[in-house]
Amino acid sequence: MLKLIIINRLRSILKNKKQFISSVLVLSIGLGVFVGMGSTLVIFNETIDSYHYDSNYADAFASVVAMPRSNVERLDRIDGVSESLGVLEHSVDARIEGFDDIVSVRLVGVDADYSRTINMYRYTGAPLESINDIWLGRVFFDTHNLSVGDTIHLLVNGRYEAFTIRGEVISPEFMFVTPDGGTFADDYLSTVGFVQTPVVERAANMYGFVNSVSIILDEGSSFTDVRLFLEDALSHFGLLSILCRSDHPNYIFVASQSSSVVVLATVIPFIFLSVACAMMYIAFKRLVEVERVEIGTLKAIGLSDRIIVTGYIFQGWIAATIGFTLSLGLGWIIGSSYYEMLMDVFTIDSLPYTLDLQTSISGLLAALFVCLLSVVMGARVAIKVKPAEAMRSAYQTASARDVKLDGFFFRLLLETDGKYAIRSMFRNKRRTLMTVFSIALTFALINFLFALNQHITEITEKRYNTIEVSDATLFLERPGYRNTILNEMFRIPGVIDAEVGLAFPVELEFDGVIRDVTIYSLDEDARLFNIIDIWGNRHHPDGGIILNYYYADSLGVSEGQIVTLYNRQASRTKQVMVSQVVEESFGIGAYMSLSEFSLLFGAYEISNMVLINVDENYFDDIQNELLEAANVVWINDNSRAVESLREAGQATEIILNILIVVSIIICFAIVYNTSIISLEEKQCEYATLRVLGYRVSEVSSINTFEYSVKLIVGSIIGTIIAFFISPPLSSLFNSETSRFWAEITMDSTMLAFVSCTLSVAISCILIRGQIKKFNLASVMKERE
Amino acid sequence: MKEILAVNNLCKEYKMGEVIVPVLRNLSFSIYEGEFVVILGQSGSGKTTLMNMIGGVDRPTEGEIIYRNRNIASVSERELTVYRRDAIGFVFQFYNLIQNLTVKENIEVASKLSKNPIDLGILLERTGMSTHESYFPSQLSGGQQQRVAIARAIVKNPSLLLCDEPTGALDSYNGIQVFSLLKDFNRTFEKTIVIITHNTAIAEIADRIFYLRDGMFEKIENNNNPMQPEDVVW
Repeated sequence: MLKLIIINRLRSILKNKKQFISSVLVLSIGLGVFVGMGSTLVIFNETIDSYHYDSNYADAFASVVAMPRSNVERLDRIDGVSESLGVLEHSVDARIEGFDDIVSVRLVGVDADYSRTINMYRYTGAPLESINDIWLGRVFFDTHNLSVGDTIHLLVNGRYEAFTIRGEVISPEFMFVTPDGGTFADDYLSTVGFVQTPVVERAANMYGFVNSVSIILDEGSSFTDVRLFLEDALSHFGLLSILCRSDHPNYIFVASQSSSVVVLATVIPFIFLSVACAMMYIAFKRLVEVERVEIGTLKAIGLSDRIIVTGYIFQGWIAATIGFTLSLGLGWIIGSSYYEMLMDVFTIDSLPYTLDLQTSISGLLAALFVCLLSVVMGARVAIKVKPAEAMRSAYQTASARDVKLDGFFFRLLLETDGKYAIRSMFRNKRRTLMTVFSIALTFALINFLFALNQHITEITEKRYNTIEVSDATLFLERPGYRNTILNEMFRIPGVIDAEVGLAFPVELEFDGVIRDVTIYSLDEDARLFNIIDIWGNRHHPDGGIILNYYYADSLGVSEGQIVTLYNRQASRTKQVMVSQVVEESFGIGAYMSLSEFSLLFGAYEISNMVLINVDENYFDDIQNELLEAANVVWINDNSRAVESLREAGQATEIILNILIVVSIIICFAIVYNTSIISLEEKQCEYATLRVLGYRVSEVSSINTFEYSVKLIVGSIIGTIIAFFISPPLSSLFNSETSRFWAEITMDSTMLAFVSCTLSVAISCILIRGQIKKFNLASVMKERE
Repeated sequence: MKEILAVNNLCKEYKMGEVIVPVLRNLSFSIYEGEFVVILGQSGSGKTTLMNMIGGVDRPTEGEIIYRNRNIASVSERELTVYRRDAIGFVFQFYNLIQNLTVKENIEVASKLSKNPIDLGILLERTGMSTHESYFPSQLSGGQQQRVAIARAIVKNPSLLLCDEPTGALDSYNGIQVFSLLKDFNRTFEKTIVIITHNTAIAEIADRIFYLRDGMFEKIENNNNPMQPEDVVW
């Protein structure tokens, strides 16, 4: 008997294939995003972990002024330290053929025997045989389409020297290289260059010294355990900063990418699955209603409730299995594409993309849960059906409680067709609610995704349009006095405006918690650098310190409390009040007024950073002139920087656009599915109208009106939902380097409305086609 | 009397898999303005198919259906819709009222299609539904529903009213009510009415009776003394 029931269920699927396909499609899209992005998250973390493990990525990093190479090994004697490595690093300007801009290369010394057990690098190409051989960072190498054998000219001791590029190199601590003083990695303008140690010694004029120390800790030891001992040991060599791995800029960047994948792998699929659940419920409930007579007949001939419900459960299982199988393919496409995009950014040897077994099993369980829940809720009706009642007409009946719609307002607004459409919605309140809820949810999601996409573009633009509004920022090797620097700047032809600042790493301490922070100090009325929070409010440096939310949170400090600044280089401390805590979009920011911060250096208004606005016709000349100046370390060309930021955000932008398209498809599937159900219910009535002389367009306009009302109500509710979900959802994308506050705007709402309208319009066009295909004679006969 | 509809050599076949089933075989007849015609036949004789052909709901396999000098068997779907809209009123066995519309709205649905509709108030009065105009179909008896359906069919002011077993789902009392109403409209508004039924008793109220059997007319009878519905023995 069960076999017959199962055959019957399979035929039912074939009979209702459009509803079945659209329900399964929504389910598979939701699961596909979940499985695909979930697997991406797993494989991405595995790739990074495996890379960090293989390359023995250090547990702690310290930067010192100069430490004799022979002293580095002594660090191993500190309790908790397993191994240490000292490297000499020094940034130089460089030129490559066919590229006009000057680039910054951080030279890293490599020992003759290439022996490194910490932060182990990997190169592709030839070994560094000559003193003038260099390996360049992989991203930079690829971005500039360089080849082994090409030449790069490095500015060493005031003159350009030719170096032969022998290959490309990756190293865990240099996956992203920010130019000295810069905030963001720039693949065009900055890279790392591995050369033989004597080259760096000559460039830095530091023979036999190192300035960068990496530490591997003993198993079971933590950074907190050894920090004080390390600080004590390194303080003799001019300790500039000391960081644990999790505070290392490269690690932070990786973690921020990982956290954005988490949102894409959890929250968004959850919304899709909720919609799928609503849709499956509608479909199955309707199916039971349609098959009411059949269920009654089966009961009348003696079949038990259990066997009937088992049949429906089998149908749910089929939906779950097909939905899950499709989701594996879809997940593979979405996940592997995103993984590929991520790996393009990271350029490390990636593990091959596979769907994660645990995530896939979770997906299968989710599919079964969604389908079986829907089926059980729908099939509850089957259990309640009494044979005698079921075999009577299953027609839905109106009652005196039906909405009358005969008030003045309705008479004015609605024709008879309109009333028909509105009452149809009230007749199936639960289905209408589910449909409106699903439209609202997808509308809210699309609205949010558009808003987030807009926000990412805006904060990228804003960084260089409203925050760093200078054309370029210069970083000086040695600080100088404010007026001297400004006088020199204004003497250069083409410089329209100039301001100075002081950017310097210090130790920030509050209540025993210590953080290394680079403080940007500016004039109180700075014109070329504005501290602007995520809501667009401007903050001015004052007598205290302005911390962004991330720093304030990690130190556990709030406005009005006192923190201690420690300048390791000058061994000076200063207590200062946290005057403002601000939420910034990008960067890890701490700001003070120039006059206050200079006191930490025992001087008044010194600066090592110059912001300039220039006549664009002079820009190249000014850049070249300044880069050749002995004291200038690096010039940040802001127009180039904004391009770099845009490129960095492209992977996120692409995946957000994919999710928008997916949401539109889901919205369409919901509307189409419920329209099909509605059409089946009303086909006799529609056919009657056709027989009475209604045109296809007039009949289909009833369905269009019904869904237009649902769309408008769904959009209004969706807009409200979007306002509520946007802050918490966008905050899930927050990382240590960036904070998001995607605001729902008129633009994002309009785009969401257009997207949902498009879905509804396509569905209505398809339904119109169905009405047109009605065989009036046979539809009328079905009524009998 | 003036001819309103002429059917010439009408054939209809249905394809059921490999088998072709002839339903109507070479039918030819005319219907005249103001006539009250009953097409009588057993189940499966082709009555509903014939009415679908005349009503422009379905198309014949062969033959002509000439309505006011126009062969509706060969017009486009769009023109067929205009034909149904302007010329035909339909009454169905199971009323086919729109469940979500009230009595008045169900009639309005049809009235808005017509350029020259009959006054809705008059129809509600004639059908005895004026006190029930805001009721939904499910709140009405079968007879009441059929009266609404007749009002809906007649409100467009069509030339030809086609009724498919209009009393098939009604008891005798309601059946008499319905036929009285149809007769009333036939006389008052001079509408041509074609009724298909399997009930031989009903034939007695017609001006002409077409006996249909296996898709062919067995005979066509003129009834010179049609009875009043209330006099018919059901």
